[in-house]
Amino acid sequence: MKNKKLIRLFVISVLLLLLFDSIINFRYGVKRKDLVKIVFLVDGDNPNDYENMKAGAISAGEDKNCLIDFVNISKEEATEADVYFVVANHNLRYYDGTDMVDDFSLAEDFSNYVLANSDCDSILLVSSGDNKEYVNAIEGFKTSIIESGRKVEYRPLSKDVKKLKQSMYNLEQSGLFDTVIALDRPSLSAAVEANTRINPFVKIYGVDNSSEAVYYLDNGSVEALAYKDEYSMGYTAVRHALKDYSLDKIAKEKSFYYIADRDVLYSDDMEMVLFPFVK
Amino acid sequence: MITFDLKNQFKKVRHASKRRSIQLIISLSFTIVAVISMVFVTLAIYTSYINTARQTTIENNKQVIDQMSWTVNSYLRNMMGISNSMYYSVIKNLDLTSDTMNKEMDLLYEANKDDLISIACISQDGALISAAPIATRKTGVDFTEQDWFLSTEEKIENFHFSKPHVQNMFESSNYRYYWVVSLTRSVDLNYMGYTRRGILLVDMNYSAIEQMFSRVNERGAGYVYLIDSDGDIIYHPKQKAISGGLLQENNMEAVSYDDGSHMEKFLGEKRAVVVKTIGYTGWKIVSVMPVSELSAPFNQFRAFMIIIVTVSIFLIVFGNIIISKIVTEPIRRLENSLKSIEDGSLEADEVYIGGSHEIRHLGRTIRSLVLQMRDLMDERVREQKEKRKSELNALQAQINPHFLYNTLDSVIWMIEAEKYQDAISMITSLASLFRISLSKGNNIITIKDEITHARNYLAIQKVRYKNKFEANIDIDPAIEDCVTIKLIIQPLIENAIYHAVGDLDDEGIIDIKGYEKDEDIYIEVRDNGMGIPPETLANLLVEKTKSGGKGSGIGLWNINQRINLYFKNDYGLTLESELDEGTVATIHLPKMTMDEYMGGDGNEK
Repeated sequence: MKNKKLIRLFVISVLLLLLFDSIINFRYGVKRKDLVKIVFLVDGDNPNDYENMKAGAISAGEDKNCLIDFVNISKEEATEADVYFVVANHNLRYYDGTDMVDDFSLAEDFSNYVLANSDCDSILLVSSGDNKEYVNAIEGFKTSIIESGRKVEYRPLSKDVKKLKQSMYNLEQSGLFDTVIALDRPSLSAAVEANTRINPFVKIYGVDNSSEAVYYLDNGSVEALAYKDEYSMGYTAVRHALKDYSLDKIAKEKSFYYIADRDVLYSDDMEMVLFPFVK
Repeated sequence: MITFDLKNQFKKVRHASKRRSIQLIISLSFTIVAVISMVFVTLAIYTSYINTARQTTIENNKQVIDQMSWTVNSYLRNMMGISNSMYYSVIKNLDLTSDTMNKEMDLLYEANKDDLISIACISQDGALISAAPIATRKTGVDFTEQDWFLSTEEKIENFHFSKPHVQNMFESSNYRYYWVVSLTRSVDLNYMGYTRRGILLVDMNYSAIEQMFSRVNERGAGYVYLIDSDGDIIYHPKQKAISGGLLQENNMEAVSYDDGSHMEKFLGEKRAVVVKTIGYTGWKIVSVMPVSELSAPFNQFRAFMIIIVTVSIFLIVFGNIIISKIVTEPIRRLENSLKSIEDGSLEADEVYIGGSHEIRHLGRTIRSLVLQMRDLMDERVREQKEKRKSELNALQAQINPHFLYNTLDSVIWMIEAEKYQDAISMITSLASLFRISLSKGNNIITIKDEITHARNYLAIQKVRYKNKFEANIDIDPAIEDCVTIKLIIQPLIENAIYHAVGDLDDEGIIDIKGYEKDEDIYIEVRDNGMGIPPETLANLLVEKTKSGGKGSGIGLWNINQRINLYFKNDYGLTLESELDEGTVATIHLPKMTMDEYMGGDGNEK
């Protein structure tokens, strides 16, 4: 009888021991961190368009055993990942479904800047193609500009570079507008090129932070740029995906966009965002 | 159900622990000692190993930082070398009006273009004298407003290193902007025989520094960053995140650290920090290793140690239980044997003999004791049986029908002869005789009662024998209250009557005398009969010798046996006889009162 009790106790103790040691091994043993695959589904065919965002995402994922990839949104179904982020028009949709940059607010603030720093009467908004992603921004611009009593018009131009440049040339030559706000890089380039050729009195503003845009700003072709801090967007998104929720509050309060002109172009803060390290 | 069972189990364990069995004491004490020792040793080894390993990691870190410092120092010295070369080999030896300066500058740039972005010589009033690769200043750029210009003008005797910044002074045909660290120094320019002051600017390619640190930061554990003498970050692997407000660094604290290793707590995280100052510049290389990462490689070791400890404790506990069980099993079995003995089982073969030498010895001793006890008890039982048997015999003898018939016949005869007084006397004596015979079942009575019994017997027998003999009773009054066994004097009188004086004609004398001698009691029954032949005398005290035909049948052996049984063999009945002269039967008893006998003293005797 006693031996049976002892055997029973022995068996129970062995089971408890195994359980305890398994817990210890799981908690303290070699942790093969599970690989977290994070995919950014982006629009556009050129993944280099999102180099800043990618740099931020990679920086956030360092030492965390995660794989970060930027894939065109058309390949979503063929892609397997643990976390997906959708990026459209350089705007990242956060985990809660909201866009990290409120295009409407960006447009409002930028138009207020434009109105405050120039004696413009008639403002032309241009983009390459009629992209529905610009809707909020256009709305923001229009609201602010119309409220100020100025004229504003939006013209979606061709995506074809030649046609775009030609259209831009024609528009600037028309004299109908004294200010152009280009909503993307191709339209900004076209506007600058057209302005250089014919009418240097049209003031050009752009929503872009590519190296070309910065060059235009630096050389005076563009008056000011509004741009999204894609590095911070990528960084914050990946931190959240890796379950570091300490940045969620900052993400809610931060604006993730800046307005830069020549005066602040080379300030410490702007430099860091506008000028990537070139190896 | 389970709760109830657990409660019962807990109660059992508590009860068992209170009993403090040898097995529990042994297993518990060994377990506690072994576990404490093992835990102590394990902790000591673990702590020592972890500390040593941590120190080793920190030392390795230090070595890496030293190497980094040497590399950065070497790079900066190289840059300073270029600046020196430009100044001492070109600028000092040439006039500003000469074209050669541009060519020399171009040559120097080409030789070092992997590490340089540009070289320029600027006059004190901000005019660009010469530059390579691009010699055209950007529109709107005023050199005199640049930080590097101002700091160089402030201290003309030193080399100056700027913070990393984007180079924005020269025209560029492409959209590329370079991060640079500007190395500047004040120089003496020769202009048509006059010496003018200027500034030699060497823009070092920041990516060289960035690559140096990136390679180190690829290690994975912790990171390394570079700060200037004011604590401002020159390089940090997450510089953009810091400037974007997404990350914080303790650089302002780190700038105050001396060279060496430090422990700091930043944002709730404990970190091991190694600092190394780069000579001329005052820059500091700061290596940061979170303590949790220091320990991470040892997590597996920790898990291993914990598992080893738990398995060892498990083995120790069960090993102790089993070993203590094996060791104490013989003791337990011996204890069970003793319990059986306590319960009345005196089987010596059931006493367990086994286990260690000492336990075996104990078992053998107990077995021997059990045997002795059993023998003693058997002897006691036998004695009691004998006693009962003797008493039974004596009692049975009292109901001898012949004596009764004869006595009653005598009574009838007396009544018929109208000798009523004699009849009454005889009946009274008979009644008294039987009363004392029974004595309420007591076997021990006073000598007084025994003599009374003898008197009654004599009274009856004298009538029956028509006073053929005389009986004299002389008992010392001092011994009358002493104890005796009942029915020992009367049988002697009976024998004297039947075998000695009964056949004599008026000459028979029976003397009964009781006295104390040497603190014992002697009662003699003497007759003056024919005596007993020696061969008969020798056999009279032998068991089963019956008196021939007459008398109560209580043999002399019975009397002697009963005395021996009650008062041990020191006392008893002795017979002396001389033919033709008579016989003396002497009863030897211990002297004790009834109180003394009842108090247990008699049992000893």
